[in-house]
Amino acid sequence: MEYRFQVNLGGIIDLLSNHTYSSPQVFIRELLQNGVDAILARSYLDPDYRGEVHIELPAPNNGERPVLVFRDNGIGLTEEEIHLFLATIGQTSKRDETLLQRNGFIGQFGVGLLSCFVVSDEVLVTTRSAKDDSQTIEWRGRADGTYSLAILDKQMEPGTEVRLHCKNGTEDYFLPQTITRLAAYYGSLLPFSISFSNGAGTSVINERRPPWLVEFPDPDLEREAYLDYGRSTFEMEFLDYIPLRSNAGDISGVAFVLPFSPSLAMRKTHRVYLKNMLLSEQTEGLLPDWAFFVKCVVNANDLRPTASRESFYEDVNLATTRTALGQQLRHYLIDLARENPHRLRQLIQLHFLSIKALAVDDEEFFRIFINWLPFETNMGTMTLTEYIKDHDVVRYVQNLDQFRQTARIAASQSLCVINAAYTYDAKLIQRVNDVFPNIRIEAIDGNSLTHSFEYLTLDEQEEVEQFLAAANQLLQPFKCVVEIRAFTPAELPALYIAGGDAQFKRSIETTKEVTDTFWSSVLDDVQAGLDQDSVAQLCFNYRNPVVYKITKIKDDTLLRLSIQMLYVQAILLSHRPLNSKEMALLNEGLLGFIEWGADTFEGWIQ
Amino acid sequence: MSEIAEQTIAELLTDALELEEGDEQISLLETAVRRADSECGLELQYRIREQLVRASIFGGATDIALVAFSWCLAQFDKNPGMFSEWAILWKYKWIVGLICNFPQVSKARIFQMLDDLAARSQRAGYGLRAVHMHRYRTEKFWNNREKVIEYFHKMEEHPKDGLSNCSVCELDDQVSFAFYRGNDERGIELARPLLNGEEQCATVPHRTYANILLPLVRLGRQREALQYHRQGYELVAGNKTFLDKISDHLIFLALTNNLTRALEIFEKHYPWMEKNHDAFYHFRFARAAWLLFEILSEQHDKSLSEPALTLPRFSPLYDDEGRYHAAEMAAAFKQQAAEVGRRFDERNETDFFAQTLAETPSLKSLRANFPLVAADG
Repeated sequence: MEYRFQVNLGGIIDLLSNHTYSSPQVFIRELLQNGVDAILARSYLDPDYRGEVHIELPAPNNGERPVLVFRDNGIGLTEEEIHLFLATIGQTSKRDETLLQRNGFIGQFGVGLLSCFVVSDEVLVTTRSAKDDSQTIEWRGRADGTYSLAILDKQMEPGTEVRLHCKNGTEDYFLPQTITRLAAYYGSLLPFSISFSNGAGTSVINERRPPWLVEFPDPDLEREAYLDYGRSTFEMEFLDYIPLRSNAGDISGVAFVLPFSPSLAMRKTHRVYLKNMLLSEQTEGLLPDWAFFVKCVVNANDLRPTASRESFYEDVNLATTRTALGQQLRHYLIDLARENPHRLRQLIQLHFLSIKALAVDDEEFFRIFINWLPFETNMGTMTLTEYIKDHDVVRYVQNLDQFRQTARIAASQSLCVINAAYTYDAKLIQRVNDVFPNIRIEAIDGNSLTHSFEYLTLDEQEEVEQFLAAANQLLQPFKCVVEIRAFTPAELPALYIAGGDAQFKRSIETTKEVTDTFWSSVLDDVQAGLDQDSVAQLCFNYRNPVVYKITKIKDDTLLRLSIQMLYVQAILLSHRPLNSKEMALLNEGLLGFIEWGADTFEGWIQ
Repeated sequence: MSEIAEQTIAELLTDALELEEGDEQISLLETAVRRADSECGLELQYRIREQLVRASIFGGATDIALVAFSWCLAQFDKNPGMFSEWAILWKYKWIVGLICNFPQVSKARIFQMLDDLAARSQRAGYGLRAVHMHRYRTEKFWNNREKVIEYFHKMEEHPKDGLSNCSVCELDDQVSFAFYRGNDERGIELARPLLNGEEQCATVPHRTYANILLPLVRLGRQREALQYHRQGYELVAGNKTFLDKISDHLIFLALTNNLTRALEIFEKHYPWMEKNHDAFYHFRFARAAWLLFEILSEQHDKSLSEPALTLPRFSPLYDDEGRYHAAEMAAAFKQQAAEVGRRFDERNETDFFAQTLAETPSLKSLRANFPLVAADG
């Protein structure tokens, strides 16, 4: 024996209005969808038939609550079918494919009607089936879950009419401007006419075809039509448009080039219609990850939406679609490079990140766009091609602080260094050899920069020997090796370099200042796994007048204080925080100098 | 602390958070940490390190995550009530999930960490589902079979709570557990909602696609596996945190005779391995590369047995001419894997890693020709 749940319609309606539907306005979507399904079903019976939907808002009589009439000339319902949809009400609150296959559009019809109770306490359906010998039937459903069914004497044209009576608090949904706006929002792409009338006259809501369904006599008109479509859809003045078409997913539509640089973290959402009905404005996953410079409007006839309606199932079909759409955007960019360099330049100014993202994984594309993509260097912004014209070694720094630290030194030596701390830059630079096999690529850090510093002469080396020994001994507890070389700019007394593991060791030291014994020993374990030879380096500049003087100092105290202070200063110049030992050094040095000064000048202060 | 400094740091932070997970994001956040340490107060230093922990976990820099986390935990304890308890416990889970990857950290310390996490979870009013999940994963790391099974079932006995993983991740663990028990077909069946895209989170089905390849090969279902390889590789190819999963794809390609494609993938990800401090990633990638080059060395085609590769200059294997001998490469990677494996076995007091390596050549018996179609590869 099989039983059926007794469904409490009142409860379901409450659930729907408060939870399932994000907003009451979806009743318009649901009514339209019912209309679409009914028109589709009738066109199978009679291919010559032309479907249409009419929405009417009769001028209300004095004091009466507004009424909305929604009419389609689709297939209509027989009495039997009405019982069927009633039986399916409450089985599900979502339209879905399996239900459609099992019950045809009738099963969905009830689901659609339910949403009307969100704005109306009573839903009156008058319908006549297009099938032979049908009668006109009236179904009157109420929000408390009761309903009545009557067969009317009058003969109406086949189709269905739904009449809603405005519920307290939902008056806004019964205003002409709201209804036309919502009907256009959900149904602007529908391939049959949706008309609207109130006391003031009749108008067609979806008269305007989307530009990709229109043939244009010339490209200027096409451009104007597309950009105008973009403007009215997104209220944005787009830079350009790219028509989209794909067999996979059965897609047609347009991608608009955004007029601003989007943030990488921004959700990349598009307006997507499914079989000409608006699915969502927030659809994700339609384009490859790199293509974040466009916003699309597309209609898809062959993709499967997830329950949230904001993305599609990640299946093979979606993957193929995504690749196909990505290819079209890619071709657009390549064509632009050939035919419209001016526009490409505009586009790159805003969207170089998107283009870099593609170039990283696409050699052929990289070859073309290496001529276009901008890179920041210590000598201004330039493309890689421009850079290579003047240099046979491409030098780049991968870290922002290091770039700041090295840019000045490099510039004083006429070295052009690229700041590759930004997204994709380092990866792109590493691709340069694909195009220019003979160019050398060199990642620069403070360390490699010192290779170009001049060594001291043998005599000079002898002179600084004592200084070097003292400095090395003093800084050994700080895991820092001291060198002295001659380099520009001369104003810079010393360069502190801690690359890779040496920097990481610094952050372990800082952390150990706060951790308990257990975690400190874990950190010791981690440190033990690092390259033990990798230590920080302090490179004094022999060209710096102060350093030059210090190397001649004979007084031990003054020498010690000077080295300590220059060490701390070099760390600070490299944008690194001092750890507590270094902070102590700074304090000691500062006080030491004051004391030394006071002692030295004691005789003068009287 | 200065307002200007805070603003600069806020900008750095915004820039960093706009990036995809990876080296650049980590590097920007490290810069922000240094700035905050010298110029700002504790709160900002903490917030940025929280981001750094997350970024390095999802960007594959386990050592950086560990250091930043231990700083946060210490400050959390020193400043009661100042920072979110749930947030630090959630990060603690990440840390116990990766601590085994450091062979220099003793077993005793790992257990101590798990105990500490358990005590802290309970103090905060959570159950032990999450901790048992990690005890299960830990025991699996050194293959203590009895304990693996025990903890997995213990985990299931505890109700889900705010610290336990999302249902998608848990399903992925169910799948892995089925494979661990030798039940390939059941694992694949369980994985269905993950594989067809119904269920997703930050790291699943990325991992699932990779985990399922070898079981499918064992069942002779390579054709299905090819599809999952395509979908799955795309998901993991951009992120170093998936280096061990990329290793699975590499092995799969080698076993289906897609050797040219395997070489391309090897070439792309090998620099990641050399630059990474994580010993487990090293082991997994070196082992996969060993198997691949061993198979390559047995080919008659010279372009396979002596492939032309572009390796980075910093690689110890680097050759100026770009010509490599597969047999030599195989030997080098075998040695590298053995070396790291030995360190793990010593710490683990088992021979699981050595055994895994000893069994690796036998995978070759699963080899069969299932070419990726060039057009959709």
